[in-house]
Amino acid sequence: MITSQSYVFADNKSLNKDEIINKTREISQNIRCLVCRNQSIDESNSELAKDLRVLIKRKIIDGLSDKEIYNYLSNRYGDYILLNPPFKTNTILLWLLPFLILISGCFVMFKFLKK
Amino acid sequence: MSYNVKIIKMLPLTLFFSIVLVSGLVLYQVKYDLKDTKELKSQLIGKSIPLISIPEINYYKKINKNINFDDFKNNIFAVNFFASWCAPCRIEAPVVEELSKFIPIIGIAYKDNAKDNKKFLNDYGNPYDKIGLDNKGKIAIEWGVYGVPETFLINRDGIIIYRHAGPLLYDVYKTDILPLLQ
Repeated sequence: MITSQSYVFADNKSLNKDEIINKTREISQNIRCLVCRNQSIDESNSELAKDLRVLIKRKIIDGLSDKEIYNYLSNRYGDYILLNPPFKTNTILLWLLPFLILISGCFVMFKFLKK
Repeated sequence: MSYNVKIIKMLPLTLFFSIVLVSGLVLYQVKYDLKDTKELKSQLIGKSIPLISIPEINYYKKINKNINFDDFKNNIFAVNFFASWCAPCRIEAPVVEELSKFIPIIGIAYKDNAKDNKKFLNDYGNPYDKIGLDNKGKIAIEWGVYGVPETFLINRDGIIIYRHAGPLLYDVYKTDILPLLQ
């Protein structure tokens, strides 16, 4: 993939050019490309993905936190744009099921080993 | 074997079946969610129109003017993202034309230029009351647009009440849009 190693105007004093590029890629890897659906915008070459990458970089330079950037995107495109689903009431099962299985498994094991 | 041991021996089996049941239900729901994601729901429904200003497209002179949404206040109106290079926009053109008989429509030319846009309107008709230009795609992102064409309906209070992604075909127009205009 060709990333534009272009000119970063450092408003954000705490990050240097490379850090801004790395951070942009890091966030981009968690954002779904809504055109191709199963790729992140970091991998996708679609126009929208390019625009969103540029926008994310701009927001990092402007000093927005990761959370603010994710919120910005999900406020416009929905949680579906986040490749990691957020912890919400409608995803609670998704997040808790592995732990429930683990705990109940431990419980059963414990009961058996005790015998 | 005591009653207690029996229960414990049954436990893994019960657990297995409850996991199968729960996973089944979850997957069933996911199936429905996937159906929905073919056309993503707009996050802007029920919200007012994004604040970003939209410059009017310039065909002849260089006048920098923004679209004034106040001109459309107290009216139901539509916002249609389109582009001269977009094939489905040609398909929806007759339906957008039909819609323009009932409500004003603001067209927003997405990543377009005035010359090509002019030609498109000459070839396929101009149903728009105002045309804005989004040459960098920034306005589209504010509106949560993920591809052209997309059509939004805005009610009398300036609240977005409907979004259709993809070409506005006649059946969508008839079943979804017309009832909202009442």
